[in-house]
Amino acid sequence: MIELVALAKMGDKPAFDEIIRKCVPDLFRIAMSILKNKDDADDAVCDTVVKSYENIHKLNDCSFFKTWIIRILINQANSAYKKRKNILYLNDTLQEPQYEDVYDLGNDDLNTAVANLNLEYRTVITLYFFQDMKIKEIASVLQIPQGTVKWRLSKAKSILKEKLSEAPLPKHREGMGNV
Amino acid sequence: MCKNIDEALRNAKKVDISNSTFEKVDNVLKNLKYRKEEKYMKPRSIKYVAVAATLAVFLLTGAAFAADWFGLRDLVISSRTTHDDGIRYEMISLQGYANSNEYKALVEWIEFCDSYDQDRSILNEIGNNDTGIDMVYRYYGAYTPKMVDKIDEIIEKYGLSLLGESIPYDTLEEFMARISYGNFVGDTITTIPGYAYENGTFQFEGYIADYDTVNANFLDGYRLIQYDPDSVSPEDVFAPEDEFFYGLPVIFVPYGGTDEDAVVADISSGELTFVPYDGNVAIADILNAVDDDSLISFQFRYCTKGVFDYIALNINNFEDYTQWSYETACGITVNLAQSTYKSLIIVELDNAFVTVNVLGGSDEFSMPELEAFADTLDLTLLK
Repeated sequence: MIELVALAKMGDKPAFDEIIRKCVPDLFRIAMSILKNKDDADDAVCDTVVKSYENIHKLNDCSFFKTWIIRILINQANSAYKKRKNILYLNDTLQEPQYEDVYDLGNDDLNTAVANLNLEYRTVITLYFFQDMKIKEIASVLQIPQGTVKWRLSKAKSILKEKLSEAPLPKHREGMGNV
Repeated sequence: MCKNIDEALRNAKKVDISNSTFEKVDNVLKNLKYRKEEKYMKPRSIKYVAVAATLAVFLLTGAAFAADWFGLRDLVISSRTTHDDGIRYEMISLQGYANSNEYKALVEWIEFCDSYDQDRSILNEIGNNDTGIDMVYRYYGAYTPKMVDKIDEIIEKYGLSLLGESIPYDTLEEFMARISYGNFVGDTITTIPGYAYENGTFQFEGYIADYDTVNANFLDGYRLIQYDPDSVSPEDVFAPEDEFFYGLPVIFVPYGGTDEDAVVADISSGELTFVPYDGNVAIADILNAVDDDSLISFQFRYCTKGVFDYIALNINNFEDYTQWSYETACGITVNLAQSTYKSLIIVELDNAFVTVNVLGGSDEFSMPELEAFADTLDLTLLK
């Protein structure tokens, strides 16, 4: 990956295309976690692609590409989320966007509980558990202190615990590793 | 219960995403234009522009194009030339001139790739699944056994070897120790560690200071970030790339702040903390240095001869470049080329082909400055 990023920084368009294609699934899943709507998530990913292409030469360290592009994506998605919230506020006849699962937690109650977390909690849960990012990386991506990330994670888990208190999770599930 | 939640979250399975998302992204990628690299420096002084213009006229009418001088034309990969909105975009080989086996191998590989899996059906079917292809072939973008066979055919045909394993380096010391050529980049350039292949090819990036306004304080170890204390804190503006900015301390100071207000980011413990700035350079001096001084980034690629490399560089139209040969301070003659937005240093050594891609062109990086940069490289150390 690092070589491809270096090539992309040198203006190699095919290399850039290849990196993006590798990143699209994760970018889309993160965008979905925030926006909970496929069309909006697609738009956020596409905007991220354009923005990253315009700015890749500013990336200082190629090994930071993924963190860097996720940061761009989250900014795009958050901004889309805010705009959409305004639209909903002004026009209450619009339907809530339909949520489409991008992560399977093997338990419908937990899936629903995560999907219904507020944006801040949902985002840290997604980045930490589903994208295997470190606290430090999440802090960088979200531009918040590491302590805040830890606090949000802890709070999110306690909300999930509360919501699921009457629906115990299975202790073990076969074949459910990260893909 | 909490443990179960942790476990369940950790075991989340990523659901495949629909093809329509890939199609939308592909459409965006198709419509992206080749970009010109950002110009990092402010326009040069009139004095420098005048000197550069005079020198350009002299060089173009002088001995710059000696009979057997190899120019960019001999590096262009014609099959990769495209036209968009009347502009010609060209890629050049960084492995060697058109008469070399390394160049021919690259061209054959590019032509194969351009004709193989054109509708990307194989690639789409593979998706993110493991191809089972050895990493040393994946560097070339191979994702099927047929592509591996083609690579093997090419290296046999042209008598080349594979790049081998690639190792990225976290610190400049480790990197320099690996390539073991000594300090061939001099002290006026800041380098960031790159990666090196088993067979000797390596690449790294760096920054060149503006030669007439060089500020040693800035180069010696400070990067300064200003922030608005009413809305953010240093922690808020700390970005992941800041950790790697030359590996130097990053100072945060509020707008209008003094030395007492400044703090330095410290990640040595693995956690981000801030300590009071107690450096011996006044913040005001660093601010002035940053204001007056800009840096130009460059990429340095050393391609070992006899090795099949896959890299090519986008230079737009080679006819937009002024080209000349120049004997550097170390006594080795290099080929220099400059357009309005990019400068190149190209040299063929006994055992390698070296290209330095400078992301600054004649608008801000004069010809004497390009020569001065070339002078800082001790190419005799590169075997």
